[in-house]
Amino acid sequence: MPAPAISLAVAVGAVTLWELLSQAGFISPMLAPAPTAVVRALINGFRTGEIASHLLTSLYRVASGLLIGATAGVVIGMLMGMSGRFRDIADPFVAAIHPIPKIAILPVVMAILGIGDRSRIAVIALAVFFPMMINTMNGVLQISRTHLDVARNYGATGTKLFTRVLLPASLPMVLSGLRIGVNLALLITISVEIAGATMGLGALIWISWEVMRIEVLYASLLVIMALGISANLLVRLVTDAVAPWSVAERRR
Amino acid sequence: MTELGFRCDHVSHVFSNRGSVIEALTDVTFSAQPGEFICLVGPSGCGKSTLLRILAGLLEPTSGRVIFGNSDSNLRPSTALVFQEHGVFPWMSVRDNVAFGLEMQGVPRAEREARADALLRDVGLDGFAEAYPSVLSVGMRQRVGVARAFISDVQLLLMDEPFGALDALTKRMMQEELLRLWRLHRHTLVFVTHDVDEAVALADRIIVMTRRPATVHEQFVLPPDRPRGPDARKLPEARETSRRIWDLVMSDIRSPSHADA
Repeated sequence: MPAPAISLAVAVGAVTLWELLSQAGFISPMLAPAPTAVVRALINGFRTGEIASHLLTSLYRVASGLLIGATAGVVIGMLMGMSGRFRDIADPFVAAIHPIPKIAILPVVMAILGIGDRSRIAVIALAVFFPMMINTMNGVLQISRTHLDVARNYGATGTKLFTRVLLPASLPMVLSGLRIGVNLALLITISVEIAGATMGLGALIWISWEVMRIEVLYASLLVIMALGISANLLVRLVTDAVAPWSVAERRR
Repeated sequence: MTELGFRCDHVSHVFSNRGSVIEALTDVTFSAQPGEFICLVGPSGCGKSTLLRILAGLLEPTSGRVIFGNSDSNLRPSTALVFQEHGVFPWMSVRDNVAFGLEMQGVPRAEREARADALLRDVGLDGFAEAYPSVLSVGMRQRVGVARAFISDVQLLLMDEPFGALDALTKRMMQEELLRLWRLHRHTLVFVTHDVDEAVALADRIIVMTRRPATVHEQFVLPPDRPRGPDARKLPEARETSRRIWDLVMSDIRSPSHADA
């Protein structure tokens, strides 16, 4: 029996067992509502638009934070990779700020930027920034001396050197930074929403918990799971589209 | 484009990095005729690659100079470097790799692709133009590297142990391929190798270098109209030359250290 089939069988079996135990009254609906109840809450949440509007709010935050953080990370990372002096100057700041769990900075950012989406997006962007910057820098630093020699020898300079050699040579590392960045953006988005927001999937989870709508809480978790899976799938599709050679290398 | 000779005139190079100083080359003097096939032979790590980088204009010699052509002008020839197969760019298709030099020169896409495709046919890689190098065998990848060097009509071809990573059979095929292309184009060619038999099979002239700091140990001029290629090594004259070069290299390696003092 192939592995995926076994995985599926285990999942179906567990959910069926859960449903049967719930129906028989062995599991309290306050602890874990029956799978059918969760699915009903999910469908209902989308029909009334409740879950959809929370989802859209979260998506907006993830996307904005990702866009700002990734762009800044790639630009600064490129500079750090190309200039040893810039790297030496920036390194202490990176070493100081990078280890702070970014959610811990939220109050400070809110004091500066005010209580609202600007602060939340800033924290998400900051969380995305570091892995993007570090991966981009390493991507530039690991370009082989041989490739640079060949490029220079054939007369590559300026923009051509950047677009045909430096950028594509570091792209696989940039994209693996993006994969880390996307997952961090999801993590921090849900976190800032739990830490005081009225909209967003994190807020929905927290509010559902407070008012004991446990089946909505579970439905929200399902949506977050689907969001995470889609985001990772999207990163893989982007990778295959913009760096197809790294796919060929991976599969070798 | 006309091929160009050159002369290395007392070329020395010293690397200094955070206090530690490494003498790579010392007082290297030799010359190459236009269209000549030169092999640089010597123990690994002796500075052959450094000399090649100086010839390519990627490094300035610490002292001495390289004079291209007959004049004393500051003429900088067009060069093409070939490394082992890892010099090929993994992010470009085979066609884009081969056409890279032309692209950098600003040759229009249609023309450079046509020229790349013609050359790919010539080296037996037609059908792989769209492929990425990672799907090719090591030997095919090196073929791409060689084709890339031959596409732009450069004056000086510089090859750094290009066949060092190939299996024996592929190496023989590539040597024949290189000789064929060289006879066709008649570039001045400097070929670094530590394989003495390879040098004897290919070169017009073999420059034997000492270990670091490298200098010219001895030169061997081989008859230009002799049979060349992988099978030529079985000829008695070739075996004699090989033996003499081996003796030189080995006695240099075994002699008491003069560099590490």
